Amino acid sequence: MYRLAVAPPDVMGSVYGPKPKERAVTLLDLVSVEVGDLFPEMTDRIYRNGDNISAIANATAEALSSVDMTMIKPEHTVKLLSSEHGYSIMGGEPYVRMLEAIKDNIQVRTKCKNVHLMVGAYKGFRESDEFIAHYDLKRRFDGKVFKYGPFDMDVPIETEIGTVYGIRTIFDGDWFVHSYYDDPREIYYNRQIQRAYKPFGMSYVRFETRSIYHMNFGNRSSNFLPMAVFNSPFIQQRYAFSCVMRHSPAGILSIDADKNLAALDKRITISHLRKYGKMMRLFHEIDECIVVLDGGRWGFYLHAGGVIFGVFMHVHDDLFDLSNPKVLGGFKKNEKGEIVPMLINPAIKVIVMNQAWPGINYLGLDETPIVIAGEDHADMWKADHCNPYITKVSKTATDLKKAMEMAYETYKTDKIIVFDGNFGHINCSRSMARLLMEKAPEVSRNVDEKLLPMWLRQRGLDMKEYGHQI
Amino acid sequence: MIDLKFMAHVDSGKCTGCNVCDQALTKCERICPAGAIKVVEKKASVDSDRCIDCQRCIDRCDMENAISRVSRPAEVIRYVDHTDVDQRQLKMFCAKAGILPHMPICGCTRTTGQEAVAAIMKGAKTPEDVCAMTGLRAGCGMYCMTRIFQVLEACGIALEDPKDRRWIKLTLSLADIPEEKVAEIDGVYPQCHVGDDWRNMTQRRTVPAKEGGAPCID
Repeated sequence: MYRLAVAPPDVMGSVYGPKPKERAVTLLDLVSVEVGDLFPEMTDRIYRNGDNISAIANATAEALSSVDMTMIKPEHTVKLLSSEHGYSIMGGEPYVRMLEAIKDNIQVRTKCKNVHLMVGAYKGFRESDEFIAHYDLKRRFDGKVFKYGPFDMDVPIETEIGTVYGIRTIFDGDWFVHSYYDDPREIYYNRQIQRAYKPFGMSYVRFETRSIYHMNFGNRSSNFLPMAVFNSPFIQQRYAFSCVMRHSPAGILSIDADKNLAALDKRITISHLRKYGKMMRLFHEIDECIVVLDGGRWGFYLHAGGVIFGVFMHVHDDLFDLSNPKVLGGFKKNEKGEIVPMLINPAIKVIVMNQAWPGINYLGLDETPIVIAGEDHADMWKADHCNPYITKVSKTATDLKKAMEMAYETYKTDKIIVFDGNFGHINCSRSMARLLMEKAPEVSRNVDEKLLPMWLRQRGLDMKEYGHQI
Repeated sequence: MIDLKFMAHVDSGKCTGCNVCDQALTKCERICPAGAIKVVEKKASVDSDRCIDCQRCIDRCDMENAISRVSRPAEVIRYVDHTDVDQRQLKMFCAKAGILPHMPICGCTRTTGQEAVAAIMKGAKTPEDVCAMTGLRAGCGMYCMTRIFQVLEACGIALEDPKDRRWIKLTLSLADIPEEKVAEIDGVYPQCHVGDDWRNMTQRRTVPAKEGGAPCID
């Protein structure tokens, strides 16, 4: 007996993606597996798509109640820094609710009315405009809403390892609040090292700084750079506190706030190693599958059971194991001596894109068969210079059903997993549900007894000391 | 190498030459990675020989889509052949830049280090020239930036940051961190493996090339 497939979060229309269309859950014969059925201890959450969203504001107020805001004076300007991906988690409204609650708390407690919401985007200049319109941010933030992105004017930041460049407008207030989310994203790159600091090497800095962060360090050592930026006098002079929407595969776990980002990061690390560690190792057990990407924004960042497809692309490695120096996103020579991207998860036999934005590089998909549903959707991919190689391996289908038939002709498996933005559930085929349920208990045991102690130890954390936080 | 089927096109009826930057460059002119847009008498125009279809200008234009993406009369390939330049010098420049000649320096376009160096050996003098010739920055436009600076510098081209800050030369690398500092970071943040990566990067073996005799990175 399986659970019914679960409706995923709604898709926001955008100039950067295909027109929103009917979802896989309504078109395909799918079931769902609940995260709590896989891992019974992993049911804690304050919200997942469809729950009462007022829990977010309440949790934010509670988390902020112990945070010192006395440094903020009524005449000051506070910049509330928001980052791109928050607006895509479970439809984005939970993140907006957290941001709104932070603003309200600051205004009530400090009498400061100049709280500016800074809306960050990846690279498109219209992304922030779309967020602002979609979430009615101007009304909700008293008109004090400003957009920013990596090509904006710079401000130099002197760090202990050299000068880098931040985005001027987000640091020109008296104070800023690091208003973030923690779900593991580029975990193949971040490796769960100082996850909470990441925007100081990405969202909050110019494209040249993002470039050195990705290109001029190893994928473990690169995580020192955001920390160096955060610890710089320039940042510390303006830093008020952090407020983070924390996640587990089950949903939004809590809202956590602290002036001490290192302490907050430690709490995130401990929780993620166990919870996401289990889900990622479970995904590693999938031997073959057809992946369906079906959601708003880049398919790379679409969730299934709280894990993004980009992580699923690399779960064939233990990404939390820091003894593995693996440089993902890199290239290697194949048997023919050709330079090709590093191997992606070999269990991914075919990818079906029902709806997924191009516009970021999905490195490593050169040799994976892809079927794109819809001519208009395929046209976007064909004209995308971020992924010129994908169009060479992709086929176009008229619609999702036809695309699934073509995928099955390419590789005959009935194991289907859908990345559609869901936390708490995985929409999938029956055979995939069966596999996940069968493998979960052993994965759970292996993580608890073997992997988790190693992952913690590698990060200077001790089970005995921190076990109670898990 | 990139195939170009499209290019940017300015509707001069809509373009107002919006001079919003204090450095007197229009938004589209400043954002173009290939230096393909010029504004003369408050009208932007696109040089099709330089445009790499990155669409940044289209995205940036606030003037009701004054810039749009149009089909090129014929498909164009932007590629710089590296085989007809001095191979010894090419390998030397790659080694100086710290890149492997045949390795892509961009995940999007897969432009190799040797292609970027060849572009400079054939006349590119600025990041914009390198992009216009090779198609670099046509994709995400971000992550390859430091490599572009590195190859230009290695080829002996001194870069001065433009006044409009369209780019800032930043090449800071793990290898630039002094050994004592690396040891200090390692002591405090061992989970970052800064020392391991630093040694891997700075002590990479340099070997003579099989042909030409110039050093290259193993």
